[in-house]
Amino acid sequence: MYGVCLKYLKNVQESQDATSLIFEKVMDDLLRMDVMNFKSWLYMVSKNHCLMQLRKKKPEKIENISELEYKLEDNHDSEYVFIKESQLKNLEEAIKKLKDEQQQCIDLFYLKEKTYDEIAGITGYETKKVKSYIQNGKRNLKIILTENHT
Amino acid sequence: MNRKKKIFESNTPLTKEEIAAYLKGDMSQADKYQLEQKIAGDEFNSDAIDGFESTPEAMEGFNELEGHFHGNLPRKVASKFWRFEFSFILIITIAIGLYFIGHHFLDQINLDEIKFDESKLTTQVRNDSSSADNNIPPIEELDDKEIENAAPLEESKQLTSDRIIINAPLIMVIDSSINEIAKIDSAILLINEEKEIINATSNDKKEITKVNTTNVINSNIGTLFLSRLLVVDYTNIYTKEITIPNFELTGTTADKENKSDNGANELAVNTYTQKITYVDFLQEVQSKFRKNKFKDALKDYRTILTHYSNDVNAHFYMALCYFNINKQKKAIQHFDRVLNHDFNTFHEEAKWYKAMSLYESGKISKCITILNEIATENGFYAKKASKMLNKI
Repeated sequence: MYGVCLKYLKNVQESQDATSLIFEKVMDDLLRMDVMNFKSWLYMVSKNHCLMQLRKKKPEKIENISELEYKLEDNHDSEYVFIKESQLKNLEEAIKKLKDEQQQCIDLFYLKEKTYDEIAGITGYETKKVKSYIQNGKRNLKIILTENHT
Repeated sequence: MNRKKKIFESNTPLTKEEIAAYLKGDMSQADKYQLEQKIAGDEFNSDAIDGFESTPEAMEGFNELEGHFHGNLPRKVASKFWRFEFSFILIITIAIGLYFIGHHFLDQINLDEIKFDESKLTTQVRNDSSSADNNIPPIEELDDKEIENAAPLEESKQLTSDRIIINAPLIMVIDSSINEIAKIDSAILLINEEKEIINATSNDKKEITKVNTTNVINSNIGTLFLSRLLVVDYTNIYTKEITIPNFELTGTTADKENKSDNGANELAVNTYTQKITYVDFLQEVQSKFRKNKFKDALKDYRTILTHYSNDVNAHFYMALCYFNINKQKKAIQHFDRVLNHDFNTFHEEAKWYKAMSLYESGKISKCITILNEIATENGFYAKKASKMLNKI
């Protein structure tokens, strides 16, 4: 949570405050809500909190917000997309549908087991780009696989 | 296949030690790869590492944070847990009590007779000192029956919550401390990501209107998200609670107990007004809107306007509800209220959707006039407006 806050708020003190607030909120919410996928839920709550923090005039008002939107009907997070064993059969084809750079990075990372820096050395992409190609490639794979299945 | 399976394997969260070692580069290639698998396998881990990489000095604050959590929260949580258990037991006890009281009489009453006519609420426009426009006459709203009988627009044309989100601009609150470029970039990143996720999980995928640095809108009032929908933050402005009618079945009243059978067979209905804070009520309504229950949401926005006639949230979302149930005249009236409102938060969206509403109601020349304005003002919807003008 702290790391996520740092990514978006870019300030140590604000991130520490935000982490404490999210932690307290999460504790309250867990007493009232059924959370099916805790990690994904926590991630989305943290991100949403940061977004609100970025847009709010006075961050100290955050505790006044009575309800955020993370009820179970709102599970839009891609993490909730469950990939079944049978869908993995189409993985080979799905990878081919990815953009070249995503395909290349996924291949080097998952199949050739190269680290980010090694992939950056091989491909000439910046390490940050490598990370982002893998992340986006993974997200697109999920979408392709679930679409093919339905 | 085994290696490919790793792509979708679930990964545990990163530990403090792992983050520290990774940042220092103090690990073997094999360990580094294992850790990067955890990072790649989970957006949460990935964002966290991004955060620490951008602010390495933040590691020092880790111990302080841990101390805060270990020292303070468990006690608080424990006491809340006790309160929760106590409340649960109390509710169960009351429910059992009510069941026994009401059980004898339930089959002899007609529940329809005790229903409220919520539409009566609309006639009681309350003055409130926090409403800035007490002189503006209220819009004559549709009553419950008219709302229920309305034939909605076909689904593909409706402005559902998903479509509104993927077409929404980035609205930042004007404040020198937050309008730093880096923060705007973060907000753009987040909002575009959210749009992609919502669109990816939506049944009908639409073209996403992406936000960029050139078309960020500055709101002159604070905002909140309720059910993922943007609203103006009236928390400190609308402090008076909203009253809604409610009732409870109380069984035989004390004065009728031990009297004749006739008296004992009557179930007393205790009517009362329930009070709820503005933001809690709005949260409920936004949740209905989020689920595309536009008719139900519309009635609730109407209730809000009887308390706060200048509420820009109610006007904006009500306009969208009227649009979706194809009552374009009403939709346009509410969009106009938004466009003339002192709070500018929804100005651009209201103008764009007003053009849609004019188009749906067949007022093409007026629609073209507004689209021309949007295109020349060069705001968030400029490209969309030009595209639509070409089509028309």
